[in-house]
Amino acid sequence: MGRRRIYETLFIVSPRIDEEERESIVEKVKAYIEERVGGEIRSVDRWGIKKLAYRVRKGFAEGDYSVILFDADAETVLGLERLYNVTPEIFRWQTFRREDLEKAPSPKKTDKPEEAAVAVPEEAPTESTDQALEEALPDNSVVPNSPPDKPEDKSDEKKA
Amino acid sequence: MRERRRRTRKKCRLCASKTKYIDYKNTSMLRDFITEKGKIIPKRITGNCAKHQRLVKEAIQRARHVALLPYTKE
Repeated sequence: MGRRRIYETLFIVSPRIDEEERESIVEKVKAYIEERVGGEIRSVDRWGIKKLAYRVRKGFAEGDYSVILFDADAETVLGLERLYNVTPEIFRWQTFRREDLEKAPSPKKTDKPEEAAVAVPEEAPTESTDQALEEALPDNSVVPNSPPDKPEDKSDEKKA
Repeated sequence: MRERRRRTRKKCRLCASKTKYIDYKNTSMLRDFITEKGKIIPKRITGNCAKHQRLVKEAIQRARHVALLPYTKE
């Protein structure tokens, strides 16, 4: 049931507090994700102070942005919301699933063998026949490379 | 004239680039799909297909929520 999913969370920390405190809040969120949510952090992106596109109700015109990408179970992610709710310094946040990243690894694995499987039979006969034809014309010494094609070529030559 | 106008149908830019996911953090790209006032441009004008317009819409709405893009601008 507890399927691992990839989530991305972005939160904005109040600019009114010191840089160190903001850093400690980010650490707190990271620790919370790892301990309480049971997540595995993939990457942490600290953007630092950034101007907001609009004035937030609390009157801030800028904020400290951070983005965390992590793996977690679908059931426990909601716990992160609780942390945000009890942390007044974080005034905006957003968490959602990165379905595109979840999809990315599995199709590649399935695609590659298929492509290879398709590509090999296509390439092999064309190459071998080309080689056989090219090399068969000057002399017939190319036996080991293409044994199955050789009789056909020979018959073709005989016909020609 | 009418026929001519009908024929000049725009192709979806995002289909052409085979976009699978639109990142809400990429505001410079999203700005192509909003007006100066911050409204989402309808697909009638941008020529986006329904699928990509939906992805654009979702990304813009997410970006707006975290104040990366404005809801409105006077």
